[in-house]
Amino acid sequence: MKTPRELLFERHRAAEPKLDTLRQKTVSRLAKAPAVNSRTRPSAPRSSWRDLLLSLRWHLAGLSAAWLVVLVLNIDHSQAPSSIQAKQNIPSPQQLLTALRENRRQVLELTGARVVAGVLEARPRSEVVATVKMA
Amino acid sequence: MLVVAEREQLPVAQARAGDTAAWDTLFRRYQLPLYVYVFELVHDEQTSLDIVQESFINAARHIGSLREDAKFGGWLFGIAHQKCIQRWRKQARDEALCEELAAAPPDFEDDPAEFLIRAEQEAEFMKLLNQLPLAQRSVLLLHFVEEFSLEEIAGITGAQLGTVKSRLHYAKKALRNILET
Repeated sequence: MKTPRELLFERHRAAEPKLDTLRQKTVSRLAKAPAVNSRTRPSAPRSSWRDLLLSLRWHLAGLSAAWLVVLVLNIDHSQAPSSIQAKQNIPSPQQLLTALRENRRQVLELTGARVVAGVLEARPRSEVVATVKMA
Repeated sequence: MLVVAEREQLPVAQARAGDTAAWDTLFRRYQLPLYVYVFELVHDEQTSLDIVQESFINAARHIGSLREDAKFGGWLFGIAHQKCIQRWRKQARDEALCEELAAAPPDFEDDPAEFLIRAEQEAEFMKLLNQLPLAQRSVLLLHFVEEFSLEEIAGITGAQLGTVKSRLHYAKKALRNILET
């Protein structure tokens, strides 16, 4: 009399040599795997960085290109207005002279001095003050 | 109930730590039960050997996912069972009959040693075993080969506990009929 377990095992005893071979192969595969890992361990960080950079090379190239474009546009925008503004802000000598004349006229009007039409003469400041007082 | 896998002190922790000698011990312990289980489901020697090897490799690869070391046996059989299911799906077998039987109420006696087979009944026993629907055969083999508990069988096969009880009940009933004659 046999239990089902005994009967089943007895029927498959013949497969044991094959199972032994299979087990040994599997265990040797497992034994090789850590050995390979330990051999490659010293250079692993460097190779992993290289792998990472290589895998991301197109992304990095794209990002670099994008940053370059942003930088160029930024430089153009910052240069263009400042130079234009600088040029626009510098008045021509003619404008400067006209503005000075107008300014002088307004001052004289306010102080009640007589406006002398004509050429603005460059005089010492002491004389100008005296003229205004006399008027 | 006697649970073979949990009685033993198996070097699961050492295997988890990468000890190849521990893996050898574990594989040696389970190679024949696993082969018997797989063979009686797929009925092909080479396929059975392939599934056993794949199960060993998967176990070594995914040992980190095993939560309780004492449940190594059930976990390993679960891996092999999944491999068998993949084969069954490829063959697209119809298991409708088994599902119908699973709906019936169980009347289950939980003793793996209740069957004692006389020499003249062996051939008939094996014939009937092979005629059982796959799901019933799977449950019965797990019960006979490793004496797994119903809960463990449910875990291995991914079935509900009630379904496992029902399948085992009908499989045993069928076997009992031939053994009593």
